[in-house]
Amino acid sequence: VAAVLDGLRVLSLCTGAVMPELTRLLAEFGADVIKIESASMPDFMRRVTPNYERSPGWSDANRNKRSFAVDLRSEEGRQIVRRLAAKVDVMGENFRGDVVDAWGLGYARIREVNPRIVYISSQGFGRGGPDEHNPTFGPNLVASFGLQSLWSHPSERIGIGATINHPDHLAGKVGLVAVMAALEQRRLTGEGQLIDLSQAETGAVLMGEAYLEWSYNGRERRPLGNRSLSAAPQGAYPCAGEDRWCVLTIETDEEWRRLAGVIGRPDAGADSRLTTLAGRIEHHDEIDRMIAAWTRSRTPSDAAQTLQRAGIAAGWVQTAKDHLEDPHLAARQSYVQIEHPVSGSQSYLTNQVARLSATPVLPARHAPLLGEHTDEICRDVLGMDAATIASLRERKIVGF
Amino acid sequence: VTAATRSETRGPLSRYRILDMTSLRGAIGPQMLAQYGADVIHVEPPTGDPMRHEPPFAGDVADPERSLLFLWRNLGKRGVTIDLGNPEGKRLFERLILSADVLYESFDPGMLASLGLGWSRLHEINPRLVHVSITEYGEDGPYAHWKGSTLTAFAMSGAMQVSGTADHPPCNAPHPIAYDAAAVYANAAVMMALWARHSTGEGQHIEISAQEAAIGGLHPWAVPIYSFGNGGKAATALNRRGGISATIYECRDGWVRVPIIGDRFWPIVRKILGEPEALMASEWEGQAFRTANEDLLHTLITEQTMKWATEALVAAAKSSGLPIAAVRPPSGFMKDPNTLARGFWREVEHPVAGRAVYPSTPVRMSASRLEFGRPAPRLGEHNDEVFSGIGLSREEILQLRAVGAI
Repeated sequence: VAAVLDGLRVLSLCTGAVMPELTRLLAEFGADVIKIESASMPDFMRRVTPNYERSPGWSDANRNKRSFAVDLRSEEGRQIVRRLAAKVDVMGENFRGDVVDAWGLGYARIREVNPRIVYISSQGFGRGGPDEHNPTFGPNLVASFGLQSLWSHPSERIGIGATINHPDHLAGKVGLVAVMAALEQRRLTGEGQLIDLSQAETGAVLMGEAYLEWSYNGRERRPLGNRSLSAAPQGAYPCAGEDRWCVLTIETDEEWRRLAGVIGRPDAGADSRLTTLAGRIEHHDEIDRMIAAWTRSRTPSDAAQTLQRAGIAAGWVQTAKDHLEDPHLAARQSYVQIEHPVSGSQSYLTNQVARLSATPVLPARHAPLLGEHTDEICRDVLGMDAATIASLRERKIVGF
Repeated sequence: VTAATRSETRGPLSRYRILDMTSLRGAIGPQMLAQYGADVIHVEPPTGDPMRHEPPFAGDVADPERSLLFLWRNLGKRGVTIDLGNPEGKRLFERLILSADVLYESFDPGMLASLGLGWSRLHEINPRLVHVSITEYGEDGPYAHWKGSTLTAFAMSGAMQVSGTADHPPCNAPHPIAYDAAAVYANAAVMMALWARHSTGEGQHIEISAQEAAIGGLHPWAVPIYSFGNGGKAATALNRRGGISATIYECRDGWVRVPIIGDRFWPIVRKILGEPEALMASEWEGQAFRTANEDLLHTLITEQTMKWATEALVAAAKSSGLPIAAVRPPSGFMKDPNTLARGFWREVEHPVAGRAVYPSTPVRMSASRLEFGRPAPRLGEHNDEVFSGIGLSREEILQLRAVGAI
């Protein structure tokens, strides 16, 4: 079976997580993705480790691509990228708003050489507003669109959020859908277009009901921490070991009676103050103490498995170490090892999430070494002869 | 060039019909596909989607047409009711499957098969059907039949370990973020399966585990970093700091978030803060030193930011090219000049809940029509038009209603 995107060619002029992960998916589904970079201007994710080729985030986000090293500071280098752009179906970039235009690699210029191109541009706040040229990272985006203000326990002074790069790792996949929708349209019209994706607005769409609370009810949502308006008890409970936590959610009165039995408190299960959701919400602190008394002496996985056997939604706060030791993730091969010419195969990277029965993703291939495929792309895609390539290399236009 | 929406007559996915049988685990996915013009039909049991009873409610009136969660996550969809447990309801569903391109559902593993509507049967009825299933843990493996919730899904993703602060328990996210990750991946997978169908002519089954989607969509680099050496250290409570290198700073009247990632922003930070003595030591110029001493650095920077009003600091930092944002409530984003300039907010009129401002789509397309404005469906609102559209007579529809199949 041919890969889904067999024959599709993509130019990836990107850095960080959002657009590299978008083009990673295209590559995994069979597109020929050419990553543009150079030693003078590498993806900043390469720089987070002393060795360019050993950055874990880089390796995860850029697998299955080819790397084309070209000096974007020279007009000749930029001209070569424009020649490549004329031969691709999709191009993606996520530099600050004015950067690609200054290079002559923005949509207006590329469209002149390739009207069929689907060109996706993604900035933190998107195009067309006063913040379009601002540099952004996930952490300042979650502050700006209101998510962070809601992300805390009610007792804390300020929403604190998480040490994750939200919405980065979701924005690329949201952008991918727009790219595929544009390709669907191109099948009918023959024409490409520009897609403008706001990463902040992506995060906002995923919490839309919080804005509805303001527009319908004229008030801000309040942080709930680990609690819920429609389930109680719900929380994270301390387990044996340092910083280990079991989590559970009780949605029905019947589940509460079962939980009370499991934790050795059938008396609480029969306590009329606690037989309704409203009662359990009112006495949540008291219930939390009962649950913690039971979890404290157990490992988090033992506690969760005991609760699951009683038909209760439970889990634990898993760490990276837990993930690598977890029998379920191992059985499903949720992480994979990829042979890499520099770092070997010691590292585990995320496997593809989307499992398609008829057209699965291609086997994982290591993220490219800087400029690894420069010569073959010059030769096979751009049709250059050996002397031309040698001259470009000698003048450090390509290959560095 | 700005990607302002041009007036095409129909959206780029308007040829596709999606039957949506998702719960909170996935509902935002078909909602986002409806924006591209897909005909998304939310299929509910006659008793209604349980999400309709989730508080809070518009106007604080508990009513199945007023749940804010339901109103947002079903925007742009049509709605029908079918009882799959009723033999006539099941036959009706099979007829509807014939008209569909995608079945998008989040039942627990085995549920549809127990009704005689598993993938092999669906494929037999409509070989072109794409069937995507979002489950908690996937359809196989030791935890396949475990129960889950928004909290357990977030915890099992690895992202909760670094959510909140070290002196509190790990903190859940304020929206069903793990389930939303699953929906985002499912949408990408659906687009791939529809694209594959152009050449194969056949549909296929897509399996999405919410746990795996939350790993990939929220915190994919934890295991790569842990397993790439990194001193072999797993994250501990000390890594739970809310932001990369504690990038939340207090001002006189609020808070700002300034991610100082890489070395190029450091001189700008120092300059904006007036180059105070304590921040001028050359050691601070390296990311590694800043990270190793981040508590001290946080104290030193906060001493300076406390002299500022939040909006003044944000303005000064923005004009110097620093990534910064005030920590704002949701309504702050609704007044944000950038989102207003981009037309992100739209009025939606719902016949029961009333008129209100909603977010729209994060995407602008220069040559495609994006569709926005159809409110979430009332229970069974489109039964007549959808069922007559697949060839049922008025009498047949009345009969289905009489036997409780719809």
